[in-house]
Amino acid sequence: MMALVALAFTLPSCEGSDDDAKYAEFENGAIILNEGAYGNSNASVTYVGYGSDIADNQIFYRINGRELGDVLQHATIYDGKIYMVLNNSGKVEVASSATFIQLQTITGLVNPRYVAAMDGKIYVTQWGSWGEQSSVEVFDASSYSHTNTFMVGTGAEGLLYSGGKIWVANGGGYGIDSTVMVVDAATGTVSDTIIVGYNPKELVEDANGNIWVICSGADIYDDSWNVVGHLPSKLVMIDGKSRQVAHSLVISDTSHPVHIDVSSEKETVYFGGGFGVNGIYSVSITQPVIPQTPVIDGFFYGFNVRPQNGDIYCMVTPNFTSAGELKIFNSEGVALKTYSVGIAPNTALFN
Amino acid sequence: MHAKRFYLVVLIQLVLAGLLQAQKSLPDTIRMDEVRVYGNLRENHAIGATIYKLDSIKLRNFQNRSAAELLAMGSVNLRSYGIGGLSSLSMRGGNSSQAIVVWNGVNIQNPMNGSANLSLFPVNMFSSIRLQYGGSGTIYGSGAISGILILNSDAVLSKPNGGEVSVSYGSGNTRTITTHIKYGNNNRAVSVKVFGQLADNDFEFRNTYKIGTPKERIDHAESKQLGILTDVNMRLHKKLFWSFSGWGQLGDKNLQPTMSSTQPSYANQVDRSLTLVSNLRFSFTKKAIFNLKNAAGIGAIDYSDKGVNIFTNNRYAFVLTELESKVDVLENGEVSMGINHALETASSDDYVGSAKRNRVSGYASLRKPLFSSRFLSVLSLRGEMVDGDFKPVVYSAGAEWLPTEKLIFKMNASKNYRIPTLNDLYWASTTYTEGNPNLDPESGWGGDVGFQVKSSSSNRTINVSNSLFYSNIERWIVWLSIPTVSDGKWKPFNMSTGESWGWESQVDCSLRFNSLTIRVEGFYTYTHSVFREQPGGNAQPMIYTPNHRFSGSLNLQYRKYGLGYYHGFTGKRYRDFQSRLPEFNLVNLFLTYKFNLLGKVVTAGLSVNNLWNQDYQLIAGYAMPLRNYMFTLNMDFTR
Repeated sequence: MMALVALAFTLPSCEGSDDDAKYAEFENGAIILNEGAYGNSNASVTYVGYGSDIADNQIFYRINGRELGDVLQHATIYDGKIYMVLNNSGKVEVASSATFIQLQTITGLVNPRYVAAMDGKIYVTQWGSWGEQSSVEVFDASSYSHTNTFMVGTGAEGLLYSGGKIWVANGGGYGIDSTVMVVDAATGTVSDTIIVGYNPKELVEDANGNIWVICSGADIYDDSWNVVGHLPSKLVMIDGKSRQVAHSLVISDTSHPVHIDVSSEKETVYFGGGFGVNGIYSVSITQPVIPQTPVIDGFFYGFNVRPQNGDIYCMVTPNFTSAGELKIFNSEGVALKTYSVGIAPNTALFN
Repeated sequence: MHAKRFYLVVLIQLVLAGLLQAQKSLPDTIRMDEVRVYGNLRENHAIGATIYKLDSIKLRNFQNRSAAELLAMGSVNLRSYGIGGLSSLSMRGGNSSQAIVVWNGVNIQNPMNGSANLSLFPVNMFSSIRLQYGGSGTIYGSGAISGILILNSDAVLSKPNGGEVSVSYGSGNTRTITTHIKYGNNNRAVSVKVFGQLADNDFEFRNTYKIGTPKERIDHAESKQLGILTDVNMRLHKKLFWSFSGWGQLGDKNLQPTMSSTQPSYANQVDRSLTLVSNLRFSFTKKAIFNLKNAAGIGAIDYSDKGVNIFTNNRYAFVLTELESKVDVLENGEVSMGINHALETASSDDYVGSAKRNRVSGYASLRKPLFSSRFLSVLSLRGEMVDGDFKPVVYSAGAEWLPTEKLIFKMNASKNYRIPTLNDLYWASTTYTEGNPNLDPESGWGGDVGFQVKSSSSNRTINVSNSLFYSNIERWIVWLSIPTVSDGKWKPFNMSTGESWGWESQVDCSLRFNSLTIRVEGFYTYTHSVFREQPGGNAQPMIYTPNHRFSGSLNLQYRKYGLGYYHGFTGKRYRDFQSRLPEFNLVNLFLTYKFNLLGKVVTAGLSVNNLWNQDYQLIAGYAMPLRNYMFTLNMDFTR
């Protein structure tokens, strides 16, 4: 018996030790957020150095010896720190963006979605318990203390800081909302509520200071879960000064893209990607027309444009179980490199 | 025989399955043996299979706990979503629906998800718990690919009248009471077992998802559980024996959040089930025994989470009728045959309408010595028709050769299948999920080869067995979100091929020296498992299947004192394609002392659970308790 017990303790391990963990620098490359599979608490972060042929997976775990949490929805880099929103964990993990050494965990959130930072403040959108009580939660970037709550519409998603204002896309949560709210960053006062398209998800600012919004639309179901209608997806431009809708372009009844970004010069808007959405499309900010064909073909769970050179980083999620892929294209849509990353990559940040 | 009683039995048979079985004239040449009235006649056709029977000491030590807690210390791999959370069985790399759970001869897995939640099964409900490894249980039907958990009651006619009451109090404010009362005579008897438990389950754990891995207490895991099981045995005639079992369970559990979550949790699940099994065992001749089994079950699972506004009600029911026979044939041969009809229905807020499935199956199995009495063989076939659609015939063959009285060589090979669950087929198409009515059954094949050495004398028995196994499951059903195929919706597909191989070594030894009884056992499994084909990716390891698993126990009984040391080692195992959970040793220690009180035997027990105070997770992110304690008092009223 004791021999068997002893045997159990001495069974060979096939894994290397943690001693070889390197405190690598992550300052000159892309940070890929792998959200993981919902409920599995297996979110991870991948680092891909510019020009490198290797993806460095699970860097947060390797540096800090612990898992991040459940559903790494979004992140932002601000003042040498990366703020990572763990949606189904209700928290924001803060780490050094250069070394990824953990710094703090911001808690007290319920269904947090997106994060932005400016002027010493961290702004986090959250749905609240099930989307109807959504808000922007404000934290001090030095002390991480909670400083304010700004109530907004339903299912707040992407947000954008511009000129002392926070633009919030009210994505609808489990239902429908069609508004973007403009909130004073200091007081939380909602100065404008702009009707855009169904379920606005993300926003970007172009070279002219105008705000572009991707509205995903939705399918409509009856009580038996039959699809009985569609709310179309739209690309909407809001004049940054008048805060009036200047362009409202219908994309599709049946395709529901959720991501948007701008080129390095901010003169081209890219949209596409999301749950089962095919293609990344480009639109000129001066002649906005929805194109028939995508600039990049393929199913991408997320994408982002590298500001330094305009390369488009597209994230492939084959099935939420296997390794995801990062595919890099130039601005013309020519494939450059492919990397194997973590589960369900959704966002690229650029250090 | 009392005619009234017989007709009562027949009436119950009618209620359960709508069948009328006319009484027939029976010769008075043999008397039915009531010892093994539960289970199936096919149970002794597991020739060449690896079988592990949990001993009575272990059942007694864990009597106030769930089968999940017991099996976590055993020879199988348990997947548990936290303390009291959904706990299911995994054998040889298969998932929970690829190993079936049979209670008194009836598959009691939920037809909606194809699994059984072992955290709801109190150990005291069962007199016998056995594990049959691999696909040798072909004749049990769909799902018996990687193994079978067989739970049985004992016949009660020959048991002494009386009963026992056991109360426990333990960490997590766990309060448990179990009772067992038996009353009757040699011709009719009834046994009632009750299990009640209230627990806060606020055990300490170490939160490995937080900076500094602080010690915390499990939150939102309170549970209430009540179970009642009755067994009725009646000898209606020398050759007519009726057994009835009814088992009702109620579980109301808050579901603990993952360790990574800092959000308040509101998830709750209420499980209710009632299963009735009636078995009429009769014999026309000395060489033939028949079972007419009728069973019915209903279940409800209500899940609610006001945090995300999800309220889901699920209902299922089944009715089963089975005629099974065991006939002596040829020279020392035995044929077991059976036909079976099962109707399964289910409804759910997540389904398109309600689900209904008719299954008719038949099996035949020949068990016979070949060449000599030292070479025993079995050949089994099974066919099934589901809603008028014939499924491929499956089969198994096994052999045991005894060159000496102490040595047995074993082998078996089988082909198996598993039909999709009702969830797989009927799940409604929503924004994110969709069922797949076009799924094919999974198809598996595999085999074992091994040997057993046994030796016994008046004061010792020793058994050592070793086996190699291989298993291959094609068209493995997995739920995946594939943008290019299902618009990104989570949907079940027949898309993977799973392969596993390994070996199992088992040792058990009993020794007796005057007043000292020693029992030692160990079970080691090496499993190499991989998905050879995985949509969207290369070969991947199967998750939550450790390469190395060991369980062992040492039990000492000296006069009034007892000591039990249970050790389970689980090696590293993948929790997804890239990450592994660390290995852990789970150790439980039991100390017991017997004394007389008011003329009754009272046993006082103290158990220390997770003695080594190890952090461990059975499913990633779900906290399991650090070291904790339970005190038990048991009073035996048996006359």
